[in-house]
Amino acid sequence: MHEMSLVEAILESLVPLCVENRWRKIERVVLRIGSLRQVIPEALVFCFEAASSGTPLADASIEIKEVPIRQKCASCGLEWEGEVPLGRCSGCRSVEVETIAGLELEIEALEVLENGDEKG
Amino acid sequence: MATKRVSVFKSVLAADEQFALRIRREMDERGVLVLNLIGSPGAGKTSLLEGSLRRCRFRAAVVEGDIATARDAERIASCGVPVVQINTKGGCHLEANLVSKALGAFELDKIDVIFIENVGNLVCPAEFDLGEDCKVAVCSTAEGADKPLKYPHLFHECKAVVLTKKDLSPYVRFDRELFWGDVEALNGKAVKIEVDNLTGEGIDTWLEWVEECLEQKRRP
Ligand SMILES: Nc1nc2c(ncn2[C@@H]2O[C@H](COP(=O)(O)OP(=O)(O)OP(=O)(O)O)[C@@H](O)[C@H]2O)c(=O)[nH]1
Ligand SMILES: [Mg+2]
Ligand SMILES: [Zn+2]
Ligand SMILES: [Zn+2]
Repeated sequence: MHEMSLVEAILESLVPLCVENRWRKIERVVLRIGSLRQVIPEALVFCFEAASSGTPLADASIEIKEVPIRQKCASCGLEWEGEVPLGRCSGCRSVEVETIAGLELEIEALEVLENGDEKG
Repeated sequence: MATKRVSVFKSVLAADEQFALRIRREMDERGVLVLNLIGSPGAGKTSLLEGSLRRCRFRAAVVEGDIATARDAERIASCGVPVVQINTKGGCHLEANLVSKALGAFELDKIDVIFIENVGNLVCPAEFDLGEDCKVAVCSTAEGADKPLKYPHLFHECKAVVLTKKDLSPYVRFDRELFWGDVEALNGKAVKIEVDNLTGEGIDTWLEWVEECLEQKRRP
């Protein structure tokens, strides 16, 4: 259950950002999460709802964009996508494979409500 | 009042990654090897360390991550090596900020290798960079041979897999070929080591690998 740790990290980074920019609140958080990261989206949303109350992110919705695992062979240049990472290139059998996507844990974008200068 | 879209592109773990980066930089400068041992509760991580500490020729220290007790740290201390205990107070993995504090308690110029025993858990410790040189997966025959594919991130990322409780293999009908085959499929580079912590069988092979890593790190 590292989802709670991720949520805490998200709040620790976004609450100050919200204050600095004088936003009224953050309404939507878009995350990019690599499939290798073993994050359960429902668990993350559940933790977020519990932990965000009382912060400017209290009513924010979470959008999770899952990034598939993508690997590249450093020997022959072959690239592929898959559900599980491979330890060996299926083309040339080299073990020099790099994971080029699937490890993301990123805050990509936000939708924020600005502090308008409305009267009353 | 208007809703506005803002691009961020920031790592969720940015703050903790800074701690990991600092640990890695300092340990690189000092030539201290850091190994992050990850495995389920009861896999045999502490037992592997006890066996190693009694025989190793390098100067070792241990960081013990535990949810609540100091039992593992006490076992390690009785081997006569410096040990720091981190209680995660419920947290199911170690994070670099905690490790960074713990490392401050060591006399680093008297240490060659730091073993970090992560909290017993096959899932999330794999997600947190502690500034280590290598992650080591510790898995016992009693857990079943299907663990690598069920927990692919750890087995994909680690530099070595230590299979413990080799002695129990016949009793739990452990499928060795399936296990190592799946490890190989996920990670063609991982070093594969089998040990029996009770008799010490295989510990020398493991220690040779650790020494090799240390030499490699210190080679100019
Ligand atoms: N038969 C056998 N038993 C072992 C072996 N290694 C460890 N054990 C036993 O397995 C149990 C758990 O070992 P520990 O070393 O405490 O496991 P751990 O991974 O440190 O456990 P946590 O720190 O609680 O996650 C103990 O009763 C050990 O004596 C082994 O190679 N063979
Ligand atoms: Mg232990
Ligand atoms: Zn190839
Ligand atoms: Zn965890």
